[in-house]
Amino acid sequence: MKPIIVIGSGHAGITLTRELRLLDKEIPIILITQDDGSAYYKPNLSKAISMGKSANDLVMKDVEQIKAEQNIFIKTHTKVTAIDAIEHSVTVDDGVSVERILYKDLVLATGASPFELPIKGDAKDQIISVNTLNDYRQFRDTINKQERVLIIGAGFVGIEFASDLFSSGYHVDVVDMEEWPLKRSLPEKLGLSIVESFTSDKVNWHFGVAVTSVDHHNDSIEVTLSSGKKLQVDVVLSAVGIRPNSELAKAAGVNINRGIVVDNVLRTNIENIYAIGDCAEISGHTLPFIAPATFAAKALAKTLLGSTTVLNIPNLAVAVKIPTCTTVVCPALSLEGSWKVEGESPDYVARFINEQGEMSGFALTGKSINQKAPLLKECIAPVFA
Amino acid sequence: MSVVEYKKYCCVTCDLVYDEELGFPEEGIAPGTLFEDIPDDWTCPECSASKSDFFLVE
Repeated sequence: MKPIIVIGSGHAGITLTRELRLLDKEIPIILITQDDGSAYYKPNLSKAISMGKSANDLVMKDVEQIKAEQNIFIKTHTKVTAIDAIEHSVTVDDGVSVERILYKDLVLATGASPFELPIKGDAKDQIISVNTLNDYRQFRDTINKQERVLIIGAGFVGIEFASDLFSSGYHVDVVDMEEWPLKRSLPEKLGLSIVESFTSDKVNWHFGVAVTSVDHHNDSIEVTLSSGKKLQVDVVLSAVGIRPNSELAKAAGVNINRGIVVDNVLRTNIENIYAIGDCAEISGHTLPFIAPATFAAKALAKTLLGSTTVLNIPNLAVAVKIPTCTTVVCPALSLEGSWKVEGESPDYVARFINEQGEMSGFALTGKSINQKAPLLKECIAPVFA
Repeated sequence: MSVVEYKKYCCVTCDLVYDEELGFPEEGIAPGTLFEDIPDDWTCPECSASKSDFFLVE
């Protein structure tokens, strides 16, 4: 029997293989990964410094545990160099040898990589992104004995890092092109509550500006903003979002838009090739966060085992880990609409009302986070056509 | 009268622990609520995994 091959051992890939094995004890499964195959909870990467956790502390299961628990083959440190969609095979290279493996079904769980901004300067190669456990390992080494970190991007990852580094004693500068943090996910009043919750002068915000240049300057790094302002820091962290990894799929003739285009059963345009997680664009939407990938993995496991299952994701609330201002966000699928805000700073309830007049998302800060459960019920459920 | 032996359950995705003795008051689950008495549509407050994704911590 030809195996189901899954490319990528992130949350989506490992959850899929686990669900497949729960449903079918016999079917051969091969997981191929470029890293060492350890399982970790990625949202912890932006909150682990203040917890004093090393990269190894964040590993929940190593590859041997996963192999034993799931009874699957895992090829680590192995790159898939090509997909042959006619022959139903992948070519893999582990650095020692190259081989071709036939598949019954192929699932792309190749994740996403950090956006690279068009920044100038002789220290631009010093800009760090933390998107994997290995990145975190290097980041922790880099900030050790340093004092000043500049973060580009005030989205989920950027502000969690700001909070994590600030509470670990660092001086933090945050730069974002927008006027307040998390602008895509919450309105101005809530964004300002987050900003105001950092009462220390060790956190400085620079909104409405971009980083134009990053240069070496004596023993520091000098960051130049589009306003002309110059900041001296030790470390520059970029948290401006991620871009689906779709090159391999594209070369095999799979349709690509922002991500790998799949329908509501996670099928690409090519027979027997599927995509889930951060690399996938499902009915026109890329779906960040852990939970949609969990739901997708469960639905796809059933589909691959013969029971075609449409992806159905309930409304999900994401907690933003900033201890100074508890924040919960339920992001709307479409950004067309407007905010309706109630409450007083910092305890706001913000409902996102779509063009049809329905509540399709919300954001809560401070004590209002206790409204999470009723608001999740009030919200219309996302539909993947 | 028997003493209840509270158990702990761990989320397979994010490692969050549900301790029956403590409950999750902020999620509306009172201290002392047994895991089996939590509604089946309850999801992990951290990562939204299903109730069935929690395993008993030995």
